[in-house]
Amino acid sequence: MPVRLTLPIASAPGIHVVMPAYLPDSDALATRSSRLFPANPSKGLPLILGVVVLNDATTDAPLAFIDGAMLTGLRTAAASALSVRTLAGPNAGILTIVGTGLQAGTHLEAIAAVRGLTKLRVVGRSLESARAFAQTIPGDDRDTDPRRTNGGRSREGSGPRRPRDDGR
Amino acid sequence: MGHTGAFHLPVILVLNGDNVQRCLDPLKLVDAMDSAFRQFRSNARRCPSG
Repeated sequence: MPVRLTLPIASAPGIHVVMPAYLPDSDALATRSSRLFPANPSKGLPLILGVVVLNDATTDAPLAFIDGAMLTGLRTAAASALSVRTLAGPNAGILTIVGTGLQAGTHLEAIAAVRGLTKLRVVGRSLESARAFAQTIPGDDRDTDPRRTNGGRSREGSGPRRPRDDGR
Repeated sequence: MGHTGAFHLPVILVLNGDNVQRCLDPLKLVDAMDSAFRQFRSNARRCPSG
């Protein structure tokens, strides 16, 4: 897997990123092609859009087109959750998430899968975004008092989230 | 009939974000990354250093 190719798009402005890979076990070629356009959120679009294309490695026939934003969100959250499982204390149960976008949701899901969470803190750029994210989280005890943290807004919601049974 | 190229193929799987989220289990992803990192570290140990 070579180093990713990054192409700045001055007119957008934005960044075009391409990452090719060969998957010998699947005999497939994968190409992740994504764009990072900082102005997208103000247009109601995700910051990062993209697609992953899978091709047959022997014929080049396209096999699949996969939404790249969600795939990236899940992959990044899995890496974070692995670091939590490896490095965090076994009784650590309070999670603070900075951000309220797609990755906030995937991180909560992934880390809740490896740790029994007792409390969640959400820090967003605005109270509205933190509140909107908090409303998507199931929980039976939600503290709605906003508090300012490092120039942003934080929001607490609590409710037990237990790790999934991984059979170990 | 015009040449349809790759789109002549009978089946191309298309997964949107919801499909991706339903297909991928977070814990299995964590385990897969754990395995990949361990394999990478094992391969790095076998490679002679610069």
